[in-house]
Amino acid sequence: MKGHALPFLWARGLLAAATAWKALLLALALNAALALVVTAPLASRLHDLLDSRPAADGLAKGWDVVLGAHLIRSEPGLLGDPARLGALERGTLPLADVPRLSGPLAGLFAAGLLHAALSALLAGGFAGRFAAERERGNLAAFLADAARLGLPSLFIGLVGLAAILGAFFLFVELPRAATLSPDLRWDWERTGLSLLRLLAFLGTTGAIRAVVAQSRAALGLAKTANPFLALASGAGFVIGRPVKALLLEIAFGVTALLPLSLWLYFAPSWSGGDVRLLALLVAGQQAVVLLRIVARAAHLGAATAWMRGAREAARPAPAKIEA
Amino acid sequence: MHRLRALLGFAALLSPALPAQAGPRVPSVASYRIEAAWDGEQKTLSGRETVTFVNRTSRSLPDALLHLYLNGFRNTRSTLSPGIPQPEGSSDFGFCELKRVALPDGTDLTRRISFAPPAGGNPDDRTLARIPLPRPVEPGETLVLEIDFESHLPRGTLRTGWKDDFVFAGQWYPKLAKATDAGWRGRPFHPSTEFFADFGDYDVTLLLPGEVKGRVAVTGRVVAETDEAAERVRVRARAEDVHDFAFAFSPRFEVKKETVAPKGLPKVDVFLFLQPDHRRSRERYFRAAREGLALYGAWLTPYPWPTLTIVDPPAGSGAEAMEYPTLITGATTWLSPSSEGEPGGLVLHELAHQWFQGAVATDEVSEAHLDEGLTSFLSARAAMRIYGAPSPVVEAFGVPIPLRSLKRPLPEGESQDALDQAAFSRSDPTLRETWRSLDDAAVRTNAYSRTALLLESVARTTGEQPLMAALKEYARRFAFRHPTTSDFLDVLGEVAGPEARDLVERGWASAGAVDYAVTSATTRRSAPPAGWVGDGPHRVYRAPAPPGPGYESTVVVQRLGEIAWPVEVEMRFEGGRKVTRRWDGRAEWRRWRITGPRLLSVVVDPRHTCLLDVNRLNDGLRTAPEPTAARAWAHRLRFLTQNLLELFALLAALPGAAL
Ligand SMILES: [Zn+2]
Repeated sequence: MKGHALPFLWARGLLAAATAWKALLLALALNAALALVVTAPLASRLHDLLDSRPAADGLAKGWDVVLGAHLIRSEPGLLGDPARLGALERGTLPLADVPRLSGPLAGLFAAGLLHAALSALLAGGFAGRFAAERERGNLAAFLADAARLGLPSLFIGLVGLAAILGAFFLFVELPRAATLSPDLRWDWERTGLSLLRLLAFLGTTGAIRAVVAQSRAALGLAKTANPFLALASGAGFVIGRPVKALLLEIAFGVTALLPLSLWLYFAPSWSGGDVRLLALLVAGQQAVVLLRIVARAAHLGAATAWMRGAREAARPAPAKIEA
Repeated sequence: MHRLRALLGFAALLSPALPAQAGPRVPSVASYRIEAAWDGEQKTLSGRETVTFVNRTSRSLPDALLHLYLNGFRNTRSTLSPGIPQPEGSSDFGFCELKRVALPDGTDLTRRISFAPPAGGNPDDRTLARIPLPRPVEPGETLVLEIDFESHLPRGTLRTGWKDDFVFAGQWYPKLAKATDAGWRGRPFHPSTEFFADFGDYDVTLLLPGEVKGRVAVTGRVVAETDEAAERVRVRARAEDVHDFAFAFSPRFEVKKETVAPKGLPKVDVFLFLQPDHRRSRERYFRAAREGLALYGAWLTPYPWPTLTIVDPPAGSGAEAMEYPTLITGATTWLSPSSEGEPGGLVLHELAHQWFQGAVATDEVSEAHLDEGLTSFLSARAAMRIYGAPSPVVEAFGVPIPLRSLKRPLPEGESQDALDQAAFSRSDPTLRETWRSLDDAAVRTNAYSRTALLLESVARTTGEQPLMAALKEYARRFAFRHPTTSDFLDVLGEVAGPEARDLVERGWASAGAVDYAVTSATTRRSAPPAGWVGDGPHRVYRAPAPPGPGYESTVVVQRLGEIAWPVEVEMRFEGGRKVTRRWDGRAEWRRWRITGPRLLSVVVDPRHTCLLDVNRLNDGLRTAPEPTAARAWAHRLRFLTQNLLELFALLAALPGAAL
């Protein structure tokens, strides 16, 4: 069916997202507000540490490795518990210790979980609106959908998270020692096996997220808000079309990350002076983050359109009786 | 002294033309003739060595003290054991066994061997063997020992062993301790210290698998290779005026040779034994050798031997980054980024060791700063000159990624561990005998990074030229000798002046930090004096008047660290005026009062002459806050956080981006 070709699905997803622009702005506002709150203590600590120090001039334009080391040495707990931070840097921090990082990093972790939960609730709203025939851009209807489908959507998200963590242990952590083994004779063996670990993890994660997307689409399309049924039909849908589901995932991944990469590469750095430049940069940054959120929602939109189309195609067409 | 100089000069004249026949330049003390056969199945080298020792000390020696370094790998109770990775099987262990020790007349000394450790030492350690002699070796006399031994090499770790078909033999033969006027000087093999030995000549014959013919890297030079029965090859190597002998072989080595002749310096044959998957590092190795030989030749003395061999080990072989006389090992990977000066920076470090410990043979077990510190200082300078400041490289999933927007100027960019050590641990001053240090971090920081920072700071404080001249004189005066820290300090004082000597001594004698801080900087409009002025009939009252146009500024600089360092204090005023004051830095604090324009900021050590200062943030103070840097970082952190939150949303709950 032509309407289900990848570029069409991609475009239909983006169109669906565009109709829900009010909800997308709401998601952006949530993201920005959380970021503002979570960085506020660190920002004020930086003012305390740097405002009266001429050496700070060396940090205004960008990071200075040596000066940065002096900053951390004079304030070892700046980003969180130094011992755990060191372990995090070396990649030896047990996952169970992550919540105990303390300081701004612990705040970031908590805010991340909160943001993830809120995003999952909002995803319920998007799923409901994208499945609806009318009033896709209606914010009140969106919020009503979020209230109705939010918790099942959160549950689907949690199952996805558990699966991704499982994949991380299975493909990244468990074989780590084996792929770094000194018994490997050639450098390329080590690199190849390490990249294989990464690829296995990314592939599995992509598949898991495709299942999550289709499950949410199923949730929106279904008459009851049963997350188990939705998960089952999402998984069934992806298993039936694994390659295309992954490609869709990749397409929206590129859509989300391309603007960010371009921004990181080309955008000028603000060194604390010109306020007009700051306003421009903040606007640009919000556009970049918004595009990431749009890509997320658009993926759900595409998943919904795809699933609905597939169901309609599967339904036997009414027989035409020729007279 | 004079004779040595004459000999050195003579050798330098001869060696470009006739490198192999330059002949010994120093009277040999401990020479070895070794014949050993490699058993690839058992990973053993068994053979016989004839040690010829000439007692050039003033002391009669009643016994012989032998290092059996490989016994450090013998079991988990050795002194070395805590420093090597947790063993997993029999191949992680090694040993060196004395089968028979005898005098040339046939007197068997084998039964006399004892492993008595130094007082209070580890009784289970077998890395030092004492052999009482039937008759002491008097000063001027020669002792010859015939030793049959079997050396079992462990899986490669800590500079020695094998990986697959690559074999690196370091510390593999029974070796005499260092003879001194106080008797034998030898310590058990310790995890974080290295070696100390007398100079001599080595004549080593190895029976190796035939497939490694032409692929054997040695200290000195291979002089003959003959095919033997059972697909074996007999390799004979000779080295003169060296204090150790190491070798490596692998059938997969790609061997390249380049003759390097830096301007005005003797020719050196550089041999590179390269892993086939490291081909793209070939020119990087040679470039480092070429430029290093030229730089060190100019800074110190001409390279003292006719050959230099670079062994490029496979990753994970445990043989990386090590120095033996005329033989060094590098380290690289197939994806190693070209722009970051690797393996060049490492080669420059190991090459500098050819002077500091190869020729100027200090005691690495007790005074590691004299070799590692001088080497780190010189190689940082050489690397900055050749490659510029490197960028940090992070490795993700086996792929090294250089962070090009960040730069790590040397030595400070790679020596921050020394400042952490000085700020937090403070366990050992550099002058403590290395092997007595609390832990490996103390050894590493004191020997390497702290000394590199200290010498660079001295160069910036009392002058680069005098310090470099002192190093040159030290390298010249003590070539093929065994100087101590006080010899080094004496030359430093003599050539670079008493202040340079004093500063180095301060940095080495304390485990603490240098830390200068501007703790107060105030500026206010100055008012004319008020109150009663003058005496008797001339006493008049002046009412408090509003302040005038000028300012009165007060600055306090405090010494917060234990170590005093001479510093400049720079004060900046409105209108661009700048006032600089010098302070010897000795008192706990110093206050300056200055009238004039409004004070804007004060910075102590504005040119960063003292790299040992543990906190550069407190080096200055403004009179009015300037929030730009913190604002810029708050702005960057917010955007970073927004994107991280979005990543959380992706991983945890939502479909979408980031694959
Ligand atoms: Zn070294």
